[in-house]
Amino acid sequence: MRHDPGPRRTARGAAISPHRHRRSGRQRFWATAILLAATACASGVPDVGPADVPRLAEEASERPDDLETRTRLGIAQYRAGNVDAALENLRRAVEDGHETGPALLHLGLAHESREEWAEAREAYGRYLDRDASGTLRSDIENRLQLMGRNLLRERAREALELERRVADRVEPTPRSVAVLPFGFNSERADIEPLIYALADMMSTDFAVSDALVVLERAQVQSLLDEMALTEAGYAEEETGARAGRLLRAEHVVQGVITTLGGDRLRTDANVVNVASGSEAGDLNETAALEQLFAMEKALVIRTIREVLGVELTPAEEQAILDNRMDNVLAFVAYGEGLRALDRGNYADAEERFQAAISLEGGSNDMLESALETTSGLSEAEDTDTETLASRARAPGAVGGGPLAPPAGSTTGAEETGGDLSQGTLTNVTEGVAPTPTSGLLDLGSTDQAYEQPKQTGDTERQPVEEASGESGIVGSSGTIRLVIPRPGGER
Amino acid sequence: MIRAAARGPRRVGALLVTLLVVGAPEAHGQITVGTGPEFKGYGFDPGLGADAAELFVLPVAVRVPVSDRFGIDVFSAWARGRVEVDDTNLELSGPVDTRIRMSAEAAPWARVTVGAQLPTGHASHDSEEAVVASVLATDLLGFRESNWGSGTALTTSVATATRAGSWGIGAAAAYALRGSFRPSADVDSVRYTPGNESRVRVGLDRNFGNNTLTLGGTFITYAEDQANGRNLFRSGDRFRFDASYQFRASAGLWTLYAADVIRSNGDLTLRLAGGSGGAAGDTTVATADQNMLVAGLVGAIGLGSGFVFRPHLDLKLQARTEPDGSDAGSGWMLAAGGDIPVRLFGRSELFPRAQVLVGSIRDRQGESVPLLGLELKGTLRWSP
Repeated sequence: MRHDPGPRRTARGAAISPHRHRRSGRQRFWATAILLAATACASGVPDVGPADVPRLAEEASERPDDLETRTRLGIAQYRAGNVDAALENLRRAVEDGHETGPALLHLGLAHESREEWAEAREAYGRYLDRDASGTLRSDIENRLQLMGRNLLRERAREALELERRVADRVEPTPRSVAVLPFGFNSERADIEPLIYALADMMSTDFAVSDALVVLERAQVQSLLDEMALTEAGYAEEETGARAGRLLRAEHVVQGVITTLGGDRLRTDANVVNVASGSEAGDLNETAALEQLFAMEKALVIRTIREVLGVELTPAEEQAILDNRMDNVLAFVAYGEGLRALDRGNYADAEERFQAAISLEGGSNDMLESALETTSGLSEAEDTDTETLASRARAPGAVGGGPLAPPAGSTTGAEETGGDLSQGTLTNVTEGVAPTPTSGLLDLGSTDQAYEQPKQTGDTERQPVEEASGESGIVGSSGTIRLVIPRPGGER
Repeated sequence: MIRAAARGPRRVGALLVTLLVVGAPEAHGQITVGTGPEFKGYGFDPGLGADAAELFVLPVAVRVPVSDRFGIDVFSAWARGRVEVDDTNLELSGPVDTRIRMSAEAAPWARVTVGAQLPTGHASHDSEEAVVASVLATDLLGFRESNWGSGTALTTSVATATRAGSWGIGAAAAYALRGSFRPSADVDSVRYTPGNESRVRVGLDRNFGNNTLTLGGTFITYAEDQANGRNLFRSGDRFRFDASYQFRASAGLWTLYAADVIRSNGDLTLRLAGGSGGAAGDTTVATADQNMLVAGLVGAIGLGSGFVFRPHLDLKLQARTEPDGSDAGSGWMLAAGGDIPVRLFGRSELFPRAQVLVGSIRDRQGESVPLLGLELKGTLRWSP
């Protein structure tokens, strides 16, 4: 479906022409020809270059409302290396409603050239929203990942700079949690990458509940990198409190993994309340290495309930329990990949994630997503803005398809998978247990709703009161059938 | 009564301390203790068998998670009930039975529960106490305790669950063996043995995104109650159907629930005395059947500064039919209230709760008698 008659399509169509009527017959001919050609090759980028800048500048001056000309001028200026002027014209064109693929793409490129990551990311994002097709789409999706990481580093630097300048504390984001990589207290270097993998899995698990706002692991790591911390510093409480302030997190989860000899691990988690700078709670779990995921799940669920005071729905708890891998070695390889990713070594990260997928042996969304992201980052890093701009000139590179929903968006209610048997077991167990021990302890947490006790509409009986017909404030009535035996007869 | 009241708490306390001492070193997770005063009281307009009824309970509950798959719950309480009839106060007070429940996960898809009711409660009532117990037993009023004690009981249940597509399907069965107790403080010779109890439940669960729908149906049947070894009363079968939908709205968790408990009429068997002093025969008296529908909503509203108000709205409709067709005892009750949980220090939390109850109950003449009630609780939950 290339022809969408809706108004946004009209606004987007590059050579579609609110201003055609202003042109001369000769211009109209060429404009039409260009329009057809452009439509035929899926709205390619205008073939303009540095030599066209004077002419286009003159045309734009004559027709200041001609947004198509202004876009062409901006593209030509970008190609001429005049990024500031290009940015000015492209921004004006887009702000005035000319949100075409070429305009948004070059706006993103211009911002990226100036290392304005947030603006570049926004422009690329809008480009993807507006432009569903085109061979450049995957390049831009990769670009978005790279912009995101660059932005995180920039924000981390800004946060550190702000910390130096501003004495006052910034209000934390309500209900926000940041998970720091755990410290590693062991000689077992082979499993050290677990600290990254665990932090990542815990962040994902905390994010299951909408009651918490969880900071991305990449954002946390960017800050720690900027703080120039060694891994030994991750577990220190002052680090957690400081990182939490900089991240504007309400709570920071940090801890230490200790090997206990053999394959046994102990995980000590510590939750820091950033505002007060005090410890909100600490938990520990010990398990064999192969029980790592059970240990992590227990730690996450207990932290959410006992320390953060959030009650989970059965579906949320199940989603947390389901987020696991089958192979611990694959999880270690995943941690290696994350460490390489944090260090910007995308090719190495890609290899590690591939290895993790091989070790896992089956499909795993977390690994596949990591591999896809890293491949994109790797490609994006290898593609500079100049290459991208030249790719954009290829026919069909910048599509003109119908409006698409933003990448990654979903429609409708997604059903959470997972094994419901635990919740169902509780459902039926509580329903039949004739020794209720009261709901006194089942009051939920201090800041969440609790589930109504299962015994609502109690089925307990009061035998004597019921049998005596007195089980109630109004008592009871009955009909007595008297059987009077005949004298001498059978009873 | 006084002797029992004095002896009971010591016995319960000793039991709880023993459990804590034995359980603590073995405990896998956090031991949790809950306690706190609870008060519920009603005032009735004229027409019913009482002018006011109230219950004060001081419960104690302990949960010991011995391992990932095995946990123990213990509950006991001291309670004092008061009923006002024609300006006369009738009281019933003392400890209640102690309940212990051990739950083990035999497999990821199966759970076994063994429960025991220890006869620590003040089960033998004099005539005045019996009046209090009968008034507090009114289902619609929803008192936590009504009989203080009903003898020893041993219960077992087995539950299993599996998944069929997006649904979780579970089934469970339970059986309770009941021991005898002396219900009357005035007549020493009577020993009452409630009938053994069987329960079967089928449950369904399904997640919709992060929300969960839970459905269930329970069937309960009872063997005949006996007095001094003779069949006396067979309680009517009970059916319970329930549904709840738990959903998240922003940071809050809300639960909509509904349950319908249908109680068939029971049969009371009376022996008729013959002229020579022997038994002339038996006769049967039917007791009332009853249907109670409960529906409500419980949730959370953020108040800022870390405080949350958890509102609770609950409607009960009870239809009761006596064998003679009378609907005395039918009525409705609307309860509205909530709690504001407070984290005190460390791992201790306070759950102050208040609830106002309004409703009415039909008297013997078929007139609706209004009632007004208040419930106050201050539960302290502590993990040492």
